[in-house]
Amino acid sequence: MLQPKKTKFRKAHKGRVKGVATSATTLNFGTFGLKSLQAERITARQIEAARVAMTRYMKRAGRVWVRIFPDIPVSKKPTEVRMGKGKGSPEFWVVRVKPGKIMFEVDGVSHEVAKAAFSRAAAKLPVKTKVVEQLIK
Amino acid sequence: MAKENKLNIEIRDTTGKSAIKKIIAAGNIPSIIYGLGQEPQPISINRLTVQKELKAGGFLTKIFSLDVNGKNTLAIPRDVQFHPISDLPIHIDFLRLGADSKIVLDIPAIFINHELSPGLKRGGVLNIVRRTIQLNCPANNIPEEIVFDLTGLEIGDAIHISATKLPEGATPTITDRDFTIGTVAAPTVIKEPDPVADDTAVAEGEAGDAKTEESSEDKKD
Repeated sequence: MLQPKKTKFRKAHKGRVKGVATSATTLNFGTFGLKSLQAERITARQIEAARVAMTRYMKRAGRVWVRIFPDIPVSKKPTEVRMGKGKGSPEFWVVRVKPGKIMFEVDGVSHEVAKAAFSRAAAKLPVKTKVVEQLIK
Repeated sequence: MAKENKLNIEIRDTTGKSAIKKIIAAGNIPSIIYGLGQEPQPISINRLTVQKELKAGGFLTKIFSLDVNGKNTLAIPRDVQFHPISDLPIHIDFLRLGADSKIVLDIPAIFINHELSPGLKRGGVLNIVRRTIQLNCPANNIPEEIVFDLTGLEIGDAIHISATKLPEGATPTITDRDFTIGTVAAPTVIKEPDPVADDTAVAEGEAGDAKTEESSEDKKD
């Protein structure tokens, strides 16, 4: 699963996901992309599940790019522990995704295959998505 | 001069957020024409017309004939801004062109003969490094596309700018090297995660945390 090799600080603030994406809103690598339409935190597990679902459906044809990277640690307190006594330990990694962000890109497959692969990937993600296609301007 | 396309525009005298909101509500896109040492002219264009032109392709390499204050002006779209969520065009920049102007344009790269590449046949993927090629070309001879032949390419091979013949008068803006347009890459290989190892790691982590918390509770009591 994706996570940073090393970090400056072990724990991060919870934060909020506000506004619309300003970067990675257009396709840069592939012909097709999966764009988020909602703001949400996406975990490394969800990214990996979506990537595996896509590559399995595409049967090793084509190429997949993951354009998001989970670099925010989320901490959690163990079960049956009283409140207080400091912040819990880091449990998993997330990325804050804003609406308009291209999360995955695909190339080397037909429009139908890309669309079906993205629908399988979208089922693993906590956001509403849409498939975008490269238009030669 | 390359083929001209007519585009109906409306001159707008107003600028600013509230005026733009009214233009958008009326189904138009705010735009501007600049260049040739003249004053910039704000205009608006019908959204549906623009969307039709964008879908037709080659929008940024087409020369348009625009009626500005009763005078026909030749202009080329230099930039189109899109809404990040809806992907609808929200603004267009047009550059005025003279009869003998020379401009820098991004011309689309087209790849042909995919079936004649042994690398692609064996499951390789065409990794396009540059979808467009920046050329310095005269306004009267703008190429629609630059074609690259993939015949005989194996996995790991690359296709460079020298592989094609550029139209007369057109020169690439990158002149110091024979830059890459695309490569034939190996397909993505699925790496199956080891579920046993993952589960053990998680369980160990949880157990460790719980232990620490328990001990702190004990101390408290």
